[in-house]
Amino acid sequence: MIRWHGWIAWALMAGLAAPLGCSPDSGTKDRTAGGPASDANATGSATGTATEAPTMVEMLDELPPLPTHWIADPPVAAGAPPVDDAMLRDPFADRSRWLHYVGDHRGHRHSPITSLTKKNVAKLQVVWAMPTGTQQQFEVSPIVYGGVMYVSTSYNRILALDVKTGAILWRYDHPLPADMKPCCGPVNRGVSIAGDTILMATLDARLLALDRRSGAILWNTEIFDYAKGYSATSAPFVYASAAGTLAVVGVAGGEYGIRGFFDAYDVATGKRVWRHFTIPTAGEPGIETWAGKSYETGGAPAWTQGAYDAETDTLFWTTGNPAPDFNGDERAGDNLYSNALLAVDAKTGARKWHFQFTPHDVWDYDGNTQIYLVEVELDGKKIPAIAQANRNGYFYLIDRRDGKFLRATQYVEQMNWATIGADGRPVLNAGVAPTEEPDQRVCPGNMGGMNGAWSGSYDPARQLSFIPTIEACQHFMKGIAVYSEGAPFMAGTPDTIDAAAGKAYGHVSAVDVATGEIRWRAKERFPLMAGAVSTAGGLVFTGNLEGEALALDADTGEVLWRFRMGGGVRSQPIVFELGGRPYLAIGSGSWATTDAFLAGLDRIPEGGHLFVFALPES
Amino acid sequence: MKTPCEVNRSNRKRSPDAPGLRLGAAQVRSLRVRTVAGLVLGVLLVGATACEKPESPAARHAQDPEALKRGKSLFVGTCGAYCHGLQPGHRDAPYLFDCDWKHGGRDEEIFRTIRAGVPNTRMQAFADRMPEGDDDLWKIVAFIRSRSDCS
Repeated sequence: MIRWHGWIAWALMAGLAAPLGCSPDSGTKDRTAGGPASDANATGSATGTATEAPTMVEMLDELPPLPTHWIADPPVAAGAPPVDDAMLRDPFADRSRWLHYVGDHRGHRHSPITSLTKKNVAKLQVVWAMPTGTQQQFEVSPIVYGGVMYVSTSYNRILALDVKTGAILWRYDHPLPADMKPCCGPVNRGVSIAGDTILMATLDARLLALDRRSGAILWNTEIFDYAKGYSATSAPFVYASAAGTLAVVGVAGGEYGIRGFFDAYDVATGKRVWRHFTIPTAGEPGIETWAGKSYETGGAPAWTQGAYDAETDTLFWTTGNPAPDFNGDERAGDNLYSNALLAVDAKTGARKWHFQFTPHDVWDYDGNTQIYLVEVELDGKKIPAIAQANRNGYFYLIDRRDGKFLRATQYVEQMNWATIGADGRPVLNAGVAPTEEPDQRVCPGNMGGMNGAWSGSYDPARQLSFIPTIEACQHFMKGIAVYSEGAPFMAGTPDTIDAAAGKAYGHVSAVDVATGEIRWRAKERFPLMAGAVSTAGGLVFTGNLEGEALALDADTGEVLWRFRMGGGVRSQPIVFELGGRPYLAIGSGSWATTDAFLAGLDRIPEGGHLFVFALPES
Repeated sequence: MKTPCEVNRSNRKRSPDAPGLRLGAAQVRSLRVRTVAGLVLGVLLVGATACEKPESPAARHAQDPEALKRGKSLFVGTCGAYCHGLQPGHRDAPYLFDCDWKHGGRDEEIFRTIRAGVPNTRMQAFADRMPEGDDDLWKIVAFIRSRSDCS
């Protein structure tokens, strides 16, 4: 019997019984499963001997596991003090630093440096570069502190690099399960820093703390069971409140029918301080906005970053689409608090108010693009507000004291899904809902507009917001909604007709936040999917899908500098100064799937690379 | 007209991936002996299983426009969203309409792959996950077949 078993196995291996299909284990990487070869050897085949050369499977079994963690010993940057609350509140007091994904608590991504000017920016040159060693999109916003640059890559790898030379100081590769549940690629957008701690949220929905000096793991906590469709992709948002120094991280999973939430963790201990669910449960206000039990699998993820107002101790956070994405039949109602801006008590997570951008969304218009805390004058009155270029194509201004809608203006060039009423509620145009055989071209497409996967920036002196934008309209195809735990729960699919026809394009748009008008647009051949950073020197940095780093004139949009990095740009650039010398760091490396999906561009190879530029030493 | 058995075989453009092994001389000899035996056995098994049932439920659904429509809507709703695209090109999961199968291209094999999932990948098991159970899975198989371009 055993002999026969071996023969069957060999027949399978030789591919001769191919129509029978692979055994469940074939083509997998499960080294512990007894493969056909080892089975035959163990039982002694007709010609087998004990001295046969080991099979590749056996040889792989004998290899030591690949290292995944390189600690810095002795520790690095030990002379730099812990990152304290004052530094987190005023991150640009020392311009050698970049401490927050969104630049500062106001979310501006705007640096006060003036050493980089419209005149000298074209002299930027590469000082060092570093491969990530991973494929798919490289969306990082690096952190710079104490002479070290902390970079996360796709697949949750962290590299700690000497900021001047690029030399590697420590490295951590997070082990990820094969059945993890990312929405859209194995992405991570950055780490955060507080005290002596580097924090990273992972694709398997964990939050990790590592010692910034050595890379040693300090704590590692589960946010939620990843197998149920949860993941985390953003840098945690760090601030000091009366409850201690907290790291806030929200979950992704709007495509898996999760129940969204964002959590605050004590940076010192890793203990969760509060959790804020973005969907009410039975008996809570807002539950009436979900038909039947649809709230149980309603999505509303919280996968991006927020903003913090220390004056009122308020944390502002935003949420994504209701689930399933493209078929709302079973979730009649507004579906609170999907696609919304939420104001919560920063100490307790208790909700103060909300504003919903896209009620009962069926286009995947996640309401969680970057938010900016701004001061605007409207009708002669100064108003503390929140500005956002929403994925639905409108640029919103919301009163940040009470969530009152102030204004929405169109920032995309192509718009036909809705107009916005005086109360801030969209008024839908006819024929824009998904159907089984769609023939209506709907703008913007499901990715925006702008998308939460990248940041814009806001220059408070110019009152301009710089928005890297997609123009790629779509057909929205509806399917049957079947919830199956851990499986995509989208009930439809967008058909990117513009990309397929070569009509998708992009631009950086400068929105005057005081008026909502477009000051300028810098057009690009392909949709823009990288972040932006602006400087007091009047520059805006971003990158395009063709692989170029770009510097634009903040006043006119004129491109002042281009550098071909190679891979499509999906990262969030940062700027800083070392000894008065200005530096720019920007990642290159995209994901052919999204490039093809949105831009009809799939010829650029994948692979991340970080580039660091500086002006020549004078 | 081809029998379903023939249709299925012609749909298979290349054999499934065999485990990539580097073998010593002794093993090659051993392999040769076992391959011959395996060949005989494999052919016997193919003959026995592939042609035992002339028609799968998918072949029946293929004749029914309503069943194909449901198969499409189920596919679009769950399989085709961000994973298996309706058009060829870079996607997060294999394109399923080119008759190039990794885990077997007969109706029963496609059905089994959907039902059991693929270990160590993001392809999960869909047994008992569809509103109308296995019948819905067969409708998905029928839709994939109806849309496939094997040229």
